Amino acid sequence: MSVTAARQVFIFTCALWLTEFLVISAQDWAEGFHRPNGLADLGLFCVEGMVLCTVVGAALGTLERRPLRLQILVGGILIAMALIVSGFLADLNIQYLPMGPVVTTPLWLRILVHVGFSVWLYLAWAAIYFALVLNRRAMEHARRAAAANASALEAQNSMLRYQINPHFLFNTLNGLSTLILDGQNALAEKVVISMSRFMRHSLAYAPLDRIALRDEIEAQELYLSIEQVRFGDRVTFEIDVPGAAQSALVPNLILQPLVENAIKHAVTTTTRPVNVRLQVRIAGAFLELEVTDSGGGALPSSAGFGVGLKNTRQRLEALFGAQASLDCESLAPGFRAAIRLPLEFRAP
Amino acid sequence: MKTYCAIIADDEPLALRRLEIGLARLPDIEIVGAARDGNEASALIGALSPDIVILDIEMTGANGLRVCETIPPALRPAVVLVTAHRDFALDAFDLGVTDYLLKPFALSRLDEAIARCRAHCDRRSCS
Repeated sequence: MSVTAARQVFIFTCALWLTEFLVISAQDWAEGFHRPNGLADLGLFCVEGMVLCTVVGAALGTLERRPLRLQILVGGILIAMALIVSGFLADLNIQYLPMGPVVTTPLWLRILVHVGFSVWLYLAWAAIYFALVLNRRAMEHARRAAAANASALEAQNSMLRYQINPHFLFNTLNGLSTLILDGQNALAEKVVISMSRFMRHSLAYAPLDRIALRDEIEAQELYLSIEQVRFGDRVTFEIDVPGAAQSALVPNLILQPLVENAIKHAVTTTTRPVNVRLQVRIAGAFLELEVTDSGGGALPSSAGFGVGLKNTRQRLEALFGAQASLDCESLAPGFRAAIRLPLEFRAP
Repeated sequence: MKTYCAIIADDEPLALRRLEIGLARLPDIEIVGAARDGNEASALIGALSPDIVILDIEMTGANGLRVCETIPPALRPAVVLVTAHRDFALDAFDLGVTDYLLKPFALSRLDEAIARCRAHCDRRSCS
């Protein structure tokens, strides 16, 4: 239990028993009742109650992360035990204080009277304790929800950047203007059409929308074919998607950062031709999307590399929580990034 | 007519082709070497001592800024950096380059950069 929570429990426990002491003594005064030992037995009763409740609170505090039901069960048992102990203590107080009454009733009856007197106090203590536990849980829940929201928003913002990567756009336009200057009209036409279709993919959906895998693959194919025009013989690619996965749902352009990384790092680390391979597998209840390149491996220090992977992780986290993952490894040669997410289809 | 020797470097064939087409229009510019990565560019510059170097920034091997740093000071060619990134401009000016072109550049803008290069080379030969 956190220090703040422990302090909270201690404070309300003291407050509860102090209130009890004040209320009973006020009641005595109002009724003109004089206790044989002054307020000593009442004071002792309250101090003992305070100590017992603090002990129960500390014991329950160790179960803070356990299920609420277990906490309530253990709390109930501990409170019952504390109640019985307090009954015995109250009996001892009365018998051993100098002016105590002569006791003639049997022990069990005396204990029962004490327990009956203090049961509501202990129940009230337990109620306040669990109200605080629930409040803490609700606050924790709200805090986590806010954090998830913020990360989704951040992922969304960084995703907007991916929708039109200016670097990609301007380099492609540069290549395109060369094709025009060079009179390669058919290829120029092909690039314009591919670029328009790719841009439409980027712009037609919100970043956290889910689309059919076949559409995602089409977008990546368009992207790769444009990169192929830019880099010529240096880039080849293969795409392998099983028929059963075609209509599975994936977040729009979830593969974009991985494919972009593969091109960027494969092409900047080596001058020999590189192959980018996009492979999809169904593994039980999960969909696995793997992007492998045969380039010179990762450049962890290079700008933009970590950013793309971080964005992908954030988006997966925001959409699927712990259900999805992104694993990366350097190959010899090359780099592999694999996304694993729950296999889902659009409801018919 | 005085001719200026130029080396061009870009890892995208189409970008290289664009420079070739652009420079072919200028009769006093002769392309003596074309590199497709940074290391090749450095080697060509060292071997051919060009008057003008036109470098892409994001290239395989050494990037354009690094290539720029490795040019032997004695050569002092006019350097033009070409990139789709606006972010490199400050670095480029720190390196004292002659001009900085943003892709895609109009051919008229290339002509302007070459005019600056000519001026740079003429100043160099006077000093």
